[in-house]
Amino acid sequence: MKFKSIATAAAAALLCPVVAWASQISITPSSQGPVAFGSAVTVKVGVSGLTADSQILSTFNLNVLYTLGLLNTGPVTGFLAQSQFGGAALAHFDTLATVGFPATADGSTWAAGYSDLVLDSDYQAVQGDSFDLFTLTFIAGNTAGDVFLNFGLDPDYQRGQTGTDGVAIPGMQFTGACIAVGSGAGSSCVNASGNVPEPASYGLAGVALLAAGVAGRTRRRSGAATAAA
Amino acid sequence: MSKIPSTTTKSFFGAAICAALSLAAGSAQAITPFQLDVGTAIDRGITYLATAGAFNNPSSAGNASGLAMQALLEKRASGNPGDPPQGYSGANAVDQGRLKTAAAYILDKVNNTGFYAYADGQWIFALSSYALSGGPDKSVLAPANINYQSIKEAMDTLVSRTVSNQNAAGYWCYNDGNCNDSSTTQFAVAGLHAAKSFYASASSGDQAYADPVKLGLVNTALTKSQAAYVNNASGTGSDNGSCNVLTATERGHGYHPSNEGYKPSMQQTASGIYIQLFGGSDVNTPMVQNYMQWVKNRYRYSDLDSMGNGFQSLTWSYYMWSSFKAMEVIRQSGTTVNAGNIGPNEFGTLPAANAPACNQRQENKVPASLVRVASFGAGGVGYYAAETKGQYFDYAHQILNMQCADGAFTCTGYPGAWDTYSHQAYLLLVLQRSTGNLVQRCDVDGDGDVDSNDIGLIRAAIGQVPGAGDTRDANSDGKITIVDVRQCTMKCTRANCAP
Repeated sequence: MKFKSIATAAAAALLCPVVAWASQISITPSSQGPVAFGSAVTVKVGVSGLTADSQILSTFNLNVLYTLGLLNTGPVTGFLAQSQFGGAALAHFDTLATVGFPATADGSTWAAGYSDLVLDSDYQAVQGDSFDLFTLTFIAGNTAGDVFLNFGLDPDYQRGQTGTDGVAIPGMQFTGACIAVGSGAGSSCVNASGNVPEPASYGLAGVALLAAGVAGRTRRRSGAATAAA
Repeated sequence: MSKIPSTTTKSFFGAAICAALSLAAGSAQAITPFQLDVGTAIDRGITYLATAGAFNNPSSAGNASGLAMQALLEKRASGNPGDPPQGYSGANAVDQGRLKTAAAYILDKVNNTGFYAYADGQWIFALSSYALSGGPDKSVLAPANINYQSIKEAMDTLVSRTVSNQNAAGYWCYNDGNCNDSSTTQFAVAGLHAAKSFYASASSGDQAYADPVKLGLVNTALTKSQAAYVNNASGTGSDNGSCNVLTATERGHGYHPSNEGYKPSMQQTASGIYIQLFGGSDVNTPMVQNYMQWVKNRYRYSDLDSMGNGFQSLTWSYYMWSSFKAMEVIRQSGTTVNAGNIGPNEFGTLPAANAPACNQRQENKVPASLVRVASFGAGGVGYYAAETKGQYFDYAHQILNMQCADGAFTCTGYPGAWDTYSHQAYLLLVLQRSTGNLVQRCDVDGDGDVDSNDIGLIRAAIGQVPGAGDTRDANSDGKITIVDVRQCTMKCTRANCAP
């Protein structure tokens, strides 16, 4: 019984962040393709789950990484959150080009945004639960394969973001996407459903499944013991 | 008998765990009981100085008036490191009135006095901090009084006579450069370091503060002093024979260089750390490490034992600020401590019996084992359990214990002081985590406000490594990130960050 409680508590604790921290910055669609060689393919980067966390997105500073060769230059081709950052006069969005850097083909692309809105309540008045931040447009190369678009891991310069009180939103999740280039033969992107999990998410899911399995096994044993009695 | 269905129970516990986690996350910014008590101690201590006339014109604090004024400028809401110093612009009407009379006293006195390293050093850093936080100039304070200098005139007078009295070795004496006195040197250096911010600023009062020529003179003087503490680093022990064992690299400094018969002292070795830092060294500079090793191996907070060149009964509070300031400058710089080097949070971690043995070395206090300091209210063992062990808690707890009902730091454990005003101010400055150089965070262009121009400059600097006291590093984490952009936007002076 004690073991069962521990297992249940462990599973609950593992599931907690999903319930308590829903905020997520993700790339959509989570999978697409096949994309023909030399064709353009566009994805959106957006934020969701703010309402459940009573949050806002007051700034972002994001770096999206991709496999050079399979995809070539991936510039920001449009900012979509002007109204959620206070309108044209107050919103500030930057790309490599706007800050004076050449658009180098190095397998990464960058975008940042902030607003002159001073108060968190100003943001709350113009932001909802979910909205798109910007679009990225890539040109497929001449090599077939799956490209995984992911955010860099540095919390300051690749996953930078703030919510209320001028601090990063606790537990913010980052979710990438998958693009199949070429024929799509053997692609894990094509027909994939749902989000593309990150390596850390695989580990967490594994632990959660293990805990759930232990709980189920214990429950079956307990039931058998009760029946025998 | 009804029973709660097991699934409901599980959901309840799951929700409870989630709620607990959420509460824990949400309380990360909360003020702790100890930080609140520190805030109370700061308020009481400032009130004591005000009642004693330290902020009056003329100031009852005399040559210590700069220290008292700096303590008022650096007043913070609590002991939370996130609480900013109030400066002039953030002060309430009462404190702004006090700051204006304190500044007026300096502006009146400067051209009636000659060089005195203690007073001049203090006046320079207090006047610089006052000016850079928006304090009004002579045209507001005393427009028709010809005896008053403007802020820029007073700063120029003080800095010029300080620089011209530095001797060839890089030291100062009390009223000239005719001796190699470390105690006066640390005040002159502290003043000149603050003057760097003043002369590099784009702010202005009755005149513009920026002055590249003066800035060059200040930099040269600071470099000379840095060299003095490298060239005269002493490889001898302390005045206490039981703490006389030195490692091969350990170095210190006394009230005078060792070739004048002085062994290293606690207060002057600590001062020697930030004198080197202000001259361009950082935490990983070998000689800074050598000095830090000396202090670490003799770390104390209750008194100086006999390791103060004979001045230990009068200079405990002087040591408390100099040794805290040295480590706080390193902490605020955000410089990564190289592997194997001593970091700013390592004082108090070496047991007295460990090599090199020193039976006077103290270990960090354990916050969870202490009761609340009685003068702040009731609270049993564990009342301060939320605090982290370390230099700030050791010092601040010692200081809180010492505070009397009237706000003076002269009660429990008081070891004595040279001067009651400077003693009071030194300890307030420790509680306030002061480095003696108040710059307004986020006012990057130095025009006295925070607006979209400042935010744009911070945004453009993302990824750069900030310098010590960098106005762009709003949260003092040693990095310029998008978080600094947001935290400074929240401090914008006008709606929508309008310039």
